[in-house]
Amino acid sequence: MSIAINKEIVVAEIGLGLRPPMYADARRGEIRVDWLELITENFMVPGGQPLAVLDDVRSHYAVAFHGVSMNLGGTDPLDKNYLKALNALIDRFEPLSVSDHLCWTRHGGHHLHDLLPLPYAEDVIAHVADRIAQVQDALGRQILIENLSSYAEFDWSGMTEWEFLVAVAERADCLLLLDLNNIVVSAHNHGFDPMTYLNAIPAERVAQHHLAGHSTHKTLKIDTHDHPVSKDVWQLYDAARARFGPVPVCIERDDHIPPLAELLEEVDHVRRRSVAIAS
Amino acid sequence: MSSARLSQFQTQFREFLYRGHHEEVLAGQVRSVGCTSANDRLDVYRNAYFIRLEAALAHDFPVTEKILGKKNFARCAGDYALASPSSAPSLREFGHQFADWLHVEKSVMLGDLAAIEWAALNVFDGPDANAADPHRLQVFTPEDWPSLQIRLMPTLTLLALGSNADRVWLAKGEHVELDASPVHNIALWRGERYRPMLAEVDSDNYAVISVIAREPELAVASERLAEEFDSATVPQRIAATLHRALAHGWIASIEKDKSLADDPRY
Repeated sequence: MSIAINKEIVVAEIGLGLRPPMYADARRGEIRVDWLELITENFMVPGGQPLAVLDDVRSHYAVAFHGVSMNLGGTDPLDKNYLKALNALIDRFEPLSVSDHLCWTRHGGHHLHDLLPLPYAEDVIAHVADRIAQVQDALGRQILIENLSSYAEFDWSGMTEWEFLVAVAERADCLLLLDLNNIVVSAHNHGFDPMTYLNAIPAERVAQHHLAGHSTHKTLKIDTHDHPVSKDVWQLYDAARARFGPVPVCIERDDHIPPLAELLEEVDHVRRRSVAIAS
Repeated sequence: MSSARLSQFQTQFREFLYRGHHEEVLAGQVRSVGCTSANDRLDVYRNAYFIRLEAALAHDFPVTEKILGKKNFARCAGDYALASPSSAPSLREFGHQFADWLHVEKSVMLGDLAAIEWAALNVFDGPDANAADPHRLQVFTPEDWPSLQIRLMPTLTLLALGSNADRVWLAKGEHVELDASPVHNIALWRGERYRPMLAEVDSDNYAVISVIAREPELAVASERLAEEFDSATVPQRIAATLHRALAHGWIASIEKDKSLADDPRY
């Protein structure tokens, strides 16, 4: 499988994570963005209002599917029903991209509803890459995998997070959704330089960025998505824009969601910074 | 071998999230950086696990939370999470046994209330179907009736309550105390703009619709109902119920041909 970033997403640069408080505006096409990202599992329902909302939204915007339960790093078998439901959504709404996280979320048939960290080890690379390849075969398309915010790394890890991420992407031939907030959070929590991370990522694999805010609890930064994009994340975005070019960006806010105008100010801020770096 | 090691790690991590087990084993594997202890790092995951599940239940059962109070509700959510771990990719499904759990572990009244809230959620995002024409029965002759196939609206739910949970739910938990009451039956169904509608149903309606939900062919449903009622009265009970059900939009299709009755367009 060759690397083929959807052209539409390259042109359509700035997106916003679609959350319920924005549904009414999105259904009317009144959010000034190029595309909207939605949490896939929220729309894996038999019918009713969620799908009606998405029908309306899709009539105005391109959408990106972002999942949280694919369990790419798990040891349970991949969930065929999940992939079937995802395929049905893909057929109906034709997303720009399909992404999930480099993590495990389910074990022994129990869903844990969190993005749980993997040990960074050679044998885990093979395990996860094989599962990503299976998913790509099932969906008939490349997927994007996102780096995590993490709070613990494990001693049986024989490498850094970025080495692990790149090795998985290369081996699975998938694309990367590089979450710059997650890099900042993990860099703080694990004591590495975010620029070292960024400089290790091959530009041709990066298909999308996430920008978000975080909070601090005791000595750790926590990926809460409940604040505006922080200064250090903006700085890392400038570096990412310079290094990776005009990669589509999505602003995410999951909690304490402010008025839409405030989020759109962040969207405009990405545009301004993007143009400034490019010129 | 490697997959077995990863699986063992994930088993230990999951049990740590649930009950705090294996904390020292896991902490011993956590890389030491700065002044944050391994236990503090692991606790971020454990705390987040319960907070996230509690928030999902509070979102889906707001009136139950209001009646229980935030602290009691959080305690219930934590106990429920341990008793009934999530088995679906979406948090939307996490509460699917919460009403039954409350019914057994707490009270019939709380179970009733949660069952209503769960049915209302299913109204919101359950399968779509168009309601049958309210005058649909007029196209059939009496001879047609035994062969009729009846498909109920997929979001219609019948509940038998032993409490005033329906009144509490309608009042959104304000100014009405949750209390025991004589057993009565309610129906919840999808109204306009996906709004949940609620109405009391009598025992005839409840029995007939419950049987039709299991036995869509009217001849078979009649036989089942004859086991419960005087068989001479069954046709009348069915007719009255079907008229009411059609008027409320509880029926998706009535067809003589089974294949048409199963067609989602009808």
